[in-house]
Amino acid sequence: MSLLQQQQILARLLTDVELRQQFELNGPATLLSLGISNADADALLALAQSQLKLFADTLLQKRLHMITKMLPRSSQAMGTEFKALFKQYAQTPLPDLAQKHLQDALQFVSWLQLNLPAEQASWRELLDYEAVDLKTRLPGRGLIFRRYHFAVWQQDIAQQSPALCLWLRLNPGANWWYLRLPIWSNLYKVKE
Amino acid sequence: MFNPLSLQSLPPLGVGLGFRAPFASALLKTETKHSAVDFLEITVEHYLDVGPAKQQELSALKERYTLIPHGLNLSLGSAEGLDFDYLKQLSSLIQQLDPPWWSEHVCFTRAGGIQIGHLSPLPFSAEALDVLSENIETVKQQISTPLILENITYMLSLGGELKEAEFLAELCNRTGCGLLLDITNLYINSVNHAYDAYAFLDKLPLDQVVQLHFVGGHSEQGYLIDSHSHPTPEPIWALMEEVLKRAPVKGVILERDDNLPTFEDLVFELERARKIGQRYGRWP
Repeated sequence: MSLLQQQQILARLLTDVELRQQFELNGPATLLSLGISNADADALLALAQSQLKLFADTLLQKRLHMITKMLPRSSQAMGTEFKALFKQYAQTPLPDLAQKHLQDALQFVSWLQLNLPAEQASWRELLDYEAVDLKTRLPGRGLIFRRYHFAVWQQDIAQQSPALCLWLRLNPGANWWYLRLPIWSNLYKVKE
Repeated sequence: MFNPLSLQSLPPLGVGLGFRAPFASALLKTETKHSAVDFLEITVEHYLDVGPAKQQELSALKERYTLIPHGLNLSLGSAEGLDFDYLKQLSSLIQQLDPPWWSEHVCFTRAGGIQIGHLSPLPFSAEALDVLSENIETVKQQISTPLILENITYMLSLGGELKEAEFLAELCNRTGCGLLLDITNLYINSVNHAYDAYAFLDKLPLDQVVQLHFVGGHSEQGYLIDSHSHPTPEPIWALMEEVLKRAPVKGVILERDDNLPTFEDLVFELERARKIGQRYGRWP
């Protein structure tokens, strides 16, 4: 088997949970389904399943760890649910971009917005708030506008505190401006 | 082919730290550099395609420290070749920083359109050597700054005609690159794959070791993991002593990522490394 073919198969086995489970159950049939001949399959079949699984698990742990760092408050608020949902999401490939972990976190938030139950409105809003914060780390100008029902900027996100939030960067070389306008009280500027 | 004079002429940098955002306040507190930190290693990917805040941070660091770019995602071992958009961005960053050298890993991180997300091992084979050599030659045409190559940890053993140390020695010989010897990775591999780390050193081209990485990891399911999460354990300090005694190392980097201690704890480790290097005349 060529190095090219070996790397392509390994990349799939390391990142695709279902494929890896098939490979664990029936390696030769899985490799045959991927177009690998029996003669070429020997090198891959010789891989210790335990090493393959541990390495793949390590990759997954690292990915979760990076996403948790990117979404610290959401991961804390969601507790064990965050990890459980990440495991479902992790079938989605890691983005092939320069800021791959940041993009992965944004992709995870989008996935959660589609998959979280409707009653988890405060989680949805906190995830969105942290995602916007991540977007402000990327280059370019922008205007982002949101209406929140919960106090996502505070420790206690369950508290109802309707507000409009605005992020603005007119010049790509400048810092973002952030305004929060409580809907029932006076307008004030929170921070630059 | 390797030209020893080109690596020997690199400047001694001393003792440094892999820069992470939580260290910024300590490292940028004053107008000059922190007294315990001679230089910094920055992760290339943290400064590609970023907004002005990170660019400002990079400028502030560059004003105070020599910065060594450390890449994670060039995928030098990819048999399908390099990502030229990424290479262009990398080249631009290195040009901006003008470092004495830069570093990448002996591994692959993408294949068949899949981003693996971590450093994945290569077989220690002639074919892998050919792929690496060709990719490194392509890189050298874009980036003239000396490149040094880091050994990784591997849980998967992919075989090959060579032993790991022979593979690294041949790679350095063919490409003329220096070695970034991660002594933590060496120690972890020696434990996980049951070999003698000191015998491994005997087979390396020690005159081509330019820089070291060191830190502590953790244990999981009977394997050591290079999680960069704990203080450097004694066997790794012993390896550092041995390498600094024998190799013309120009700098060492403490590479702590997780379970971060106080900055004073990091300084304590840096000072210990500094003294070892001074003992063998590696830096003032």
